[in-house]
Amino acid sequence: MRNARVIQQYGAQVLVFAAAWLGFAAAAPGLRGSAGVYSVLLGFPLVGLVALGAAGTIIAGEMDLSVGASAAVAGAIAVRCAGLGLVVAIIVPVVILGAFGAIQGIVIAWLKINSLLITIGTSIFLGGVLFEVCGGNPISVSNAAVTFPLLDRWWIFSPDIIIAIVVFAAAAVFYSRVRYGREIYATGGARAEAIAAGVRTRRAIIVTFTVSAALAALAGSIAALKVGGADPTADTTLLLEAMSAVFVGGISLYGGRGTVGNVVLGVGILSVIAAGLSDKGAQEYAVQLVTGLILIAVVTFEVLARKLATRAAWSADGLLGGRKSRAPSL
Amino acid sequence: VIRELRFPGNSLVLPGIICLALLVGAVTTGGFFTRSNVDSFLLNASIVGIVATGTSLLTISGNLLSLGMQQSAMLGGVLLAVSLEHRWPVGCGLALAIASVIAVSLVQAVLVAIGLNAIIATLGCGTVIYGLVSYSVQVNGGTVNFSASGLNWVNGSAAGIPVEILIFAAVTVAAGIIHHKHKIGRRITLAGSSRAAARMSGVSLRNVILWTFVALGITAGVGGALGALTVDQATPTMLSTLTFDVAAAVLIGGVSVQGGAGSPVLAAIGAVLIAAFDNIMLLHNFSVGAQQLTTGALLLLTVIVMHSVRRQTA
Repeated sequence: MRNARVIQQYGAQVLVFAAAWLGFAAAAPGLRGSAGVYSVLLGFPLVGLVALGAAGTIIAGEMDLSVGASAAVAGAIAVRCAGLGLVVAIIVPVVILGAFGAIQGIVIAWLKINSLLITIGTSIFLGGVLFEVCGGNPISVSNAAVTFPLLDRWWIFSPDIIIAIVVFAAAAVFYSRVRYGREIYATGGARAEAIAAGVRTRRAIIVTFTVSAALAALAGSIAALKVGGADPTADTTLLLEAMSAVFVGGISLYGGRGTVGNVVLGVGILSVIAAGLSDKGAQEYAVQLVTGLILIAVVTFEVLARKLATRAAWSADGLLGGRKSRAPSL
Repeated sequence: VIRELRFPGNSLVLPGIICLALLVGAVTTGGFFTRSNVDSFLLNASIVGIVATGTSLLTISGNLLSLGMQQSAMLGGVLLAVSLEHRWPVGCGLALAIASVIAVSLVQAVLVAIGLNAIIATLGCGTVIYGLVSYSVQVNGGTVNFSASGLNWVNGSAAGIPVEILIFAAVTVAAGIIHHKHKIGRRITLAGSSRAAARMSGVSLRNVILWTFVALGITAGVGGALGALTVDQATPTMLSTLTFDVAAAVLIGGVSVQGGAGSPVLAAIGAVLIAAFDNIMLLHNFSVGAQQLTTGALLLLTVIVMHSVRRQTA
């Protein structure tokens, strides 16, 4: 029984992941051996951390669309703080954006307001903040030597990959063992029942939005320090990639279901595809094209599967002959 | 719901306050009311405003917003540019551009009709459109330049008013009439205020979604075509801030995100309000970042206040 549940939760994703890697390894030499593992792992510090944060808000039945803007602002703040040392340059934006995320979570939780709208508003707001932090022009790290430790590499590991692995491990424990983490599942799975059972749903929402902004900030600041600069007009597709990873990995659009393992698989699948395509010399837009197609395919599949399931349930009850039932849209 | 439909006063409180703030700002800003300045901020509002009128119908129908407006408009702009570059007849180029945007909108309509969240469907489709157009354009070097043969009049003016502003006004009036007077407009509003009631009274939700996305496609196509014509070129990254600008215009105009209330005219007013605010800040030498900050703050304020007002009246 337990095995069956594990297969149901991860089976399809593991198969896709294995097939994608085998397929690309056959066609693209860059995906073989330790170099291949390294290039796939490189997807975790940026897209992975952002997806992990966004996944929390989706499990809680909400959605944070401001992760891309948060990461960009954090990157600019990190570049500005680089003179104070590497650790400070990473921690300052995480704290600032974490506080911003907490405020966002408080507004959403207390006013019971649609989180998509609030986070669209904060995205525009943060875009303005980004512009102000950069002073309107691309900025770069004043003393490049500060960021050199980030460029180290030991076999398949680099500092940012190790940070990502540690954060993912901590998140796995948080979501499965800690009460705050369990509350998030109750909040997203069945909010009315959760409130009736005394679960502190507001706290869960505030926690997820704080974590989401802080993780996006961590990812954004590491990425900006690694390249040594930030650009106020950079056209980033981080939001799309993170959301795709979350849904491709098997986190439910309807909240309450999905684990850190699902995020790992989703990020892994997209990372294999991105690494494989760029090894074959494909442009950035080809990666986007494939990511978009996969996102639509996966979400459509989930909606249709849920529809079939509700329809079966209705007809089992003999109501409406199984014809008129509709899956609720989010 | 019915009371709110008859007396939309509550939903107009905030736009009213914003207008008042704007008026104070405008009066205290030298040079705001000069003819050329008014023309310039109306021109800045026109593309966003045109696309916002179509998007507002999606919001009114209860399907939140589209996160793929830039890509749809860009598709229209690039296709028009390509056809003008190849010296096709102007009518053919325009028809091709707008028909293609309607076609990709219909794909999104199908996805939303089977139950996908509109935000995710439009986000995903937008990226696919971006990827496809980038691929085709990159083959030819990235930017499509053309000399606007036969369509130069779009950049001119008629009776002293720039043509772009006239098109903006025409689209707004047309969308407003369809929304208020036509059967499909009434159905869109009903579907947004109560899906159950709409279904009970025989309104086909599928048709509502279909026609909403057709409107979205037409306005995105017109907006993209204008975007290309004003600079005589088109690239996959043109109108890069359109998606969020349109969302801001719809919401600041006071269109209810819960659906069922608001109108395309309000969305157009929202676009003009934002452009006027930006203009005042520009005249006071504020940076682009500060302008965007203000737009974001105004948007958050509108969403929160409207939500609270609605909860109190409910």
